[in-house]
Parts: sequence; C-alpha cells; structure tokens
Amino acid sequence: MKKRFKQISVAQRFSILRTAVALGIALLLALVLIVAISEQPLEDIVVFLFGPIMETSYLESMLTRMVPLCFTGIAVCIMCAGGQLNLGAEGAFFAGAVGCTCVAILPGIPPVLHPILCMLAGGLVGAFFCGICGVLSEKFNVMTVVSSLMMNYVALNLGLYILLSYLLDTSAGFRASYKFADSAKFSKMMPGSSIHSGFIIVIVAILLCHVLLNKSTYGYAIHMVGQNSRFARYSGINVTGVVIGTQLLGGFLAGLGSSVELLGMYSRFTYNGLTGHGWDGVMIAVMAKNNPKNVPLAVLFLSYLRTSADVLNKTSAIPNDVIKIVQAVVIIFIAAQSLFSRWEYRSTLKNAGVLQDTDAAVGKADT
Amino acid sequence: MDDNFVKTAPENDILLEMRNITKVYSNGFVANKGINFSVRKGEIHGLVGENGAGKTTLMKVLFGQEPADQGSIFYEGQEIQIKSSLQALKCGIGMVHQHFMLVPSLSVAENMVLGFEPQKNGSFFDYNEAVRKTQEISEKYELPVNPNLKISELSVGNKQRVEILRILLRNARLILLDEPTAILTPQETKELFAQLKKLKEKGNTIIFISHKLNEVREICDRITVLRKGEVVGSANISDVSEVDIARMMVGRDVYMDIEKKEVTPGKTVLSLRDVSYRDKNGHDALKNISLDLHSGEILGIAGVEGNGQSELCEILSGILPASGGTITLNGTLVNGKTVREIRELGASLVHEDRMIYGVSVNASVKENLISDRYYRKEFKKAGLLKKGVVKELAEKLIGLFAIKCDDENAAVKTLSGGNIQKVVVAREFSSESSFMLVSHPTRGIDVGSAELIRRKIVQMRDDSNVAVLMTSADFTELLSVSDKIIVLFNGEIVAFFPDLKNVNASVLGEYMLGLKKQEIKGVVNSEKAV
Repeated sequence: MKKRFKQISVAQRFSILRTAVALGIALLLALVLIVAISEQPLEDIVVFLFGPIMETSYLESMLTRMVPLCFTGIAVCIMCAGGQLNLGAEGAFFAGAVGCTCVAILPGIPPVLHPILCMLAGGLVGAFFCGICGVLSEKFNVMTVVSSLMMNYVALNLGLYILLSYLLDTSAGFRASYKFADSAKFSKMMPGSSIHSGFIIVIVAILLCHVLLNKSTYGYAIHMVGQNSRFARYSGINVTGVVIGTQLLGGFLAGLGSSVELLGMYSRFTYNGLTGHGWDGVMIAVMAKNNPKNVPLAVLFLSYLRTSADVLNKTSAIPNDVIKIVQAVVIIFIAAQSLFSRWEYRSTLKNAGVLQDTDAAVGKADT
Repeated sequence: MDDNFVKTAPENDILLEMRNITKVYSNGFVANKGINFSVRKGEIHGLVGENGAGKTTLMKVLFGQEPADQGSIFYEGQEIQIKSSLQALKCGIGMVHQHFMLVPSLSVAENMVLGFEPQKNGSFFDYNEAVRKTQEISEKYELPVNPNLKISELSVGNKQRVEILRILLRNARLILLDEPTAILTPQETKELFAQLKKLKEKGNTIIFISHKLNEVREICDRITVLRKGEVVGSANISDVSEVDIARMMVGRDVYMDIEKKEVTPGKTVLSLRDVSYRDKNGHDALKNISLDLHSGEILGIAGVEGNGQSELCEILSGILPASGGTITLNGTLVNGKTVREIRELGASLVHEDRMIYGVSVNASVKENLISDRYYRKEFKKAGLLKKGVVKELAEKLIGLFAIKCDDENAAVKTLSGGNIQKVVVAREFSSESSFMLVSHPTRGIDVGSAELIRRKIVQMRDDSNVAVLMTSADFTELLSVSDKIIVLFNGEIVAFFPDLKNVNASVLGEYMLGLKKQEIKGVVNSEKAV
C-alpha cells in the first residue's frame, strides 16, 4: 500500500494542472458568453451546467452520443501512440458504415451471427483505409497527415458511389439505403430507451485497448516506436510492422464504431457526408493524451457539453456556436504542452537534484 | 611546449583579436576556454584542430551566431560588440558555413541579394539590378558565375563560390570558411585554393578552418591550433612541419590505468571480407575492409571522424546495407539481416548517438532497459509484459551500473548525460552477447561514469570472453581499453597495431591524418597472424 501513496511524478502533476486550468478557463469563458448574450442568464447558466442530467431523455441522448465517440477516440489514440498523426478515422468511420450496410441489408442471416458479420465488414473496410496510410508512410515515405486527409475524400466519395449505385432505396422518399434486416439490428437494453447493446461492445473494446496498449508486450513496442522510431529500430523492434499494425487496428476500431452506431441507432444508412466523428476522435485523443484509459472521461466531457448545448438550444436563444467556442478553448489549453513549461522544468530539475549541480557547473565555468 | 610554437606578440598589422573567449553551452559543455586568437591583415590563417576542439564555436562567436559568455573582440584596433550576423556583416566579417545557406529554387542573382534586394518603382524587386550587381562583383574578384542559373543547377564548388561572392557583395573584408573542402572533390579544392589566393591578393583576410594538414600547409600563412577548447599555440606555417601540427592537435594524453589481464584471443567471432560502402553521393565511405575479430579481445578503431567509422558501425548493426562484401557473425552471414536477427545472433550494439539511437528520452529507465529483449519468454506471459520481472531486472541493473535516478520509473530525460549512457550500456552489456559493438562509449560524459563504463568493457572481455569492437575519438580510451588498434583513413585500414606497447597518441595521429600508411594486405587480424 505504501507505493500507492507515493507522490505522483512531476509530469503527471503538471498534466493534471493543465487540464484543470483548461476546464476552468473554458467554464469561465462559457459563463461570460452566456451572460453577454442571454436575456435570462441565470436560468441559462443552470441549464448549461446541469442540462444533461435534468431529464432522463437528455441523459439517454448523452449516453448514446458517447458510443461512437469512444470508438473513434480509442482508434485515434492507438494510431497516434504508434507515432503517426493519422486523421483518417473520419473516412474510416464513413466507409465502415457503408461496409456494414452492405452486409446489414442482406436477408436470411441468423440473428446473432448477422450483427457480428456486419461489424466485421465495417471494421475491415475501416482498417483498409487507415492501413493504407501506414503502408504509404513506411514504404514510400508519405506523411501520414497528408495521406490520411486525402484518403478521407476517397472514402467519402467511394462510399457515396456505392450507396447511390447499389444500396439506394428509391422508395424511401429520401436519400437512404435499403432497410437493415431485423436480424442485424442490436437489441435495446431496456425497453423504451435508446440504450442499445453496443454499449457493452464499446466497454469491452476500451478495456481491450487499454490492456493492449498499457499492459502487453506489443503495446510496449508501440510506445517505443511512437516515442522514438530510430531507437526502436536500433533496439531490434520491427518498426514497419508496428506502424502498419497500429494504423490497421485504428481503422478497424473506427469502422467498428460506425457499424455499432448504425446497428444500434438507425434502420437505414442515411449519412450524406462525413459525420465528424473522426475529427472528434482526434480531439478526444488529444484530451486523453493518447491513452485509451482516459478516453471515456474525455468523451463524457464532450458529450456533456454538446448535450448541454442541445438543451440550451431548446430552452433559450443561446446558439450552439457558443459551445463550439468553449470546446475549442478547452482543446487548445489541454494541447498547450508548454503551458507552465518553465515551472515544470524547474520542478523536474529540483526533483532530480540536478538544479544545484548545473548552477555549480555554470559557476565554475564562469570563473 | 614546442619551441616552434611561439606566442605571437601583438603587432601593428593585426586585423582581428579575440581575447579570453569562453563559451559554455546550455548542457554544460565548455566549447571554448579563455581563447586568445589573432589574425593579421591580408593573411590566410588556418584554424586547426580535431572535431570538437571548438573551432566552429569560436567562429560562430565571431560571426554573432553564438554569444560568448566571456571575452572581448577587437577589430581594426577597436573593441566591437557582435550580437548578430547582421552586425558582423556590417563590420565586414562574413562566414561561409559547412552547410550552405542558399535557396535552391532561386537564381544565383536572387540569392546574391537576398536580404537587401534592390528595388525599382517603389516596391518591386529589380531583377536586372541584381544580375548587374552579381556580374560586377564576380568580375571584380575574378570569380565567374552565371547569375541566371538556379542554385539547384550548380555544382557544389559553384555553390560555394556563390556563398563567397555573396559575402563579398556585402563588403566583407574578413572571410571565415568553415571546413570548406570537406564537401569538395580534389579538383574543386584546387580551384577553391586558387580563388582564395586571388582574394588574398585583393587585400582580403581569410580564416580557414580545417583538420586536413596538407591543405593547411598548402594555403595558409599562419596557423592556430585548438585542442579541447583551448589554444595550443600559433605559428608561421613555414616554421612547423605537419608532424608538429599533428602532435599539437592530438596532444599527449596521460594514460588512465585500467587493470587488464593479458589478452587471450579465442575463436573467430566476427569476420568481414571486402566490405565496402558507397553513399548516395557516390562517395566511397568504406573500401574493401577485411577484418577478423576473436572472442576475448578488444579491437579499437581510431580515425578522424568521417573516415568510415560511422558507416562501418551502421552496417554491422544492420541499419545500413553494405554495398559489397560479406560479414559473418558466429558463422552466420549477417548481410541483409534485420537488427533483431543480428542481436539474436549474439550482438549487442552501442550507437554513437545515444540520445537518438540509444534511448527513448520520454520513456522510463526500466522501459529503456528492456527494449532489446521485451519479447522474450521470461518477460512475457499470454502476450502481457511481466511487470515484476521487468522491475527486478531494472533494479538489478541500476545497482550494477550505479545508475543515479529516482527509481526505475524515472523518465530518462531527467537523468544526466553520464547516467543516460549508463542506461544504454547496462542494457547492451547484460544481453549475454558474444560480440559487442561500442561506438564512442564515453563521449561527452563525466569522468566517473566514463571510468565505470571503460572498466565494464574490459570486464566483459575478461569474464564473459566477449569480442569487442570499439570506435573512439579519445586516445586515452583507445590506448587504455583496447588490446589492438586499427586506424581508418578515407574508408581504408591504413594501420594495424597488434601490440600497443610502442603506440602512443602521436603515432596514431600520423596515421589518422594520412601522413603515414602501412602496407596492409589480406585480412587484418586474421587467425593465422595470432
């Protein structure tokens, strides 16, 4: 037990401090904005702070909102932990949904098997799109940021082409695919609520990713490659394998996320463009510091904020954009690596007992 | 020290004087220690010294790129403060760097006027004026260039000429050249020297940084020798021989005593046959190296940096493919194998660049200690890392190698340089290898850590019968740790000393600088010879 009480490291302390300051400043900013715009500031502030937990329907909508975001969040975490800034989760999410739809509209597959096949299809399509970026980076030295952004367009337009050519239900009255077979759809966990069994899948996925990244030997290799690939290579780690592997896995998770979202919440494929879940995944990964363990908390924060915004939208004249500003501010502050860096540096030195040494060394050199 | 090196008395025709210059880098490295340096008007002055002797730092201080921590600079008899390159240029001091500062996609004329572009009609760039200025200066100094060509179309020698013209255009009277011949072919070097002589005739003063003695001899009027950040002496070139200069450069280091048993070489562990490497510029970095290494011996590789040592090490570790020849380790062909396969064959590898290849600075000490073996059975259970085993190993190694850190969870970046190197060495020396490649094991670290690491190398030879190949730029280390030494020059083995009794730094220095060469035939250090 003694170990547990051991003081946390300087880096952790400052990481927590930065997050707290970011949240504090964002909250303050939100309150200032609300007071400035609103005609009924007091009520609006209450709704902003407690909206999502005031009614069960709001709470439910917040929880279902969390599911796909958790998937894209851990997807980006894994890809970034492997040292690649892969922004392809957006495209993988969309393409995965198309892949899932292709299987979900097929009739005559037994109930339990059907959703599994759908998720597998969605995941594999997603893995394909993110995996390509890993291959391009390792074999042809293409920057992953660039290739993944481009792949998003490929995923979107190829997906729309497949939808319009093969999956479009012209009798629907709007642009949508054929209806999913009933055998494919998730069951609701409670009658009358929108909480579906995808919830269990996402919890399992987060746990598995946590174990993979933080406990397994493969996760160790991923971290070493992500931190310093030249060191990893010189130590004998198969860098190419790890980079491609993490991108495949990330893409799979993004595609799996959209499949779970579709099977749990929709009865047809109705997306007309990119959905933004992949971008949110990047935001979440930044907040979670690329650690799957932190993803649920980051997603909770984001979903809470957005549900607040929705409720505010209903009850007052505060536009949704206010919340977008608040979101952006939080992300910027959490991402601000060098906020308090001088202070952190000095604390680190003090902690390591280096400070006196360097002062002495400089003093000696001066004389 | 040497009679020939007389401290120069101040004279009237002195153009530049740097007094008592001291420069300490933020990591505590003392690059210049109380340097006094003076240059006469109209001379070509050679600034000579080994890599890391402080030549470039001194010139950066003069050119305003690094602030000195102490000391003063007098130019034409007046004390001047140089805080930026712009100020240096205003004073008439210009520098040509080792790596060119040109924009490849722009034309010669555009590069020439970069930073003070001629204008017409108020605010438009006057290209024709730039061309005219380029032609004018090029004719004045008789250094022909085509103003309209793009920099990317020029040869290396011509790029250098543009750099020189560029600072001449800014009225530089004192020109600093940082190892200008390092990147030139012999033909281009000849041309450069002709240009420099012309510049001298026109009344310019030149400081020529180099460690190539024949060049210094050919072009310089006077030289100043630096060693370990200090001035060893200055002399007229006519008063000293190349051997004198070489001795001054490498110095006479005192031996550090390391207890060693007699060497008893065993079976052949590593053998190289005609290993060569041609880099992407077509330069032959290694030429037909044939070499044997036996268990229980330490073979030192001496050489001035850039003579093939780095390439040899990278080829042996499997991160660079050899262009030709074969390498066998414990009877298995190494060519084409991955780093892990080579390590599995019994190699442990210490790279010269510890911060990039040796450790991951953001990872913890224990994570850094297992990077070469984390996948093995004893660390793995059902795909998961065995935390307890890792911790146990880390604690043992921290104790054995006296690594100073909070505990095994401390990030490596919080450690001092010497302790970081101890982490690398602890990992590599504990991997039960039969062959160790050790590059610059103690470069830039404190004396205590250096001594511990040297003792461990010898201990590996004695206790575990390991075959050690060690490159180093430190003579003390080479002579006290090695059993045998080879010298690399221009990618070739130019000397082999199977017995170090009569070998000292100045003997090595003569071979390292290419003044002498042994007749090397067949396989160096082969079993028959033992």
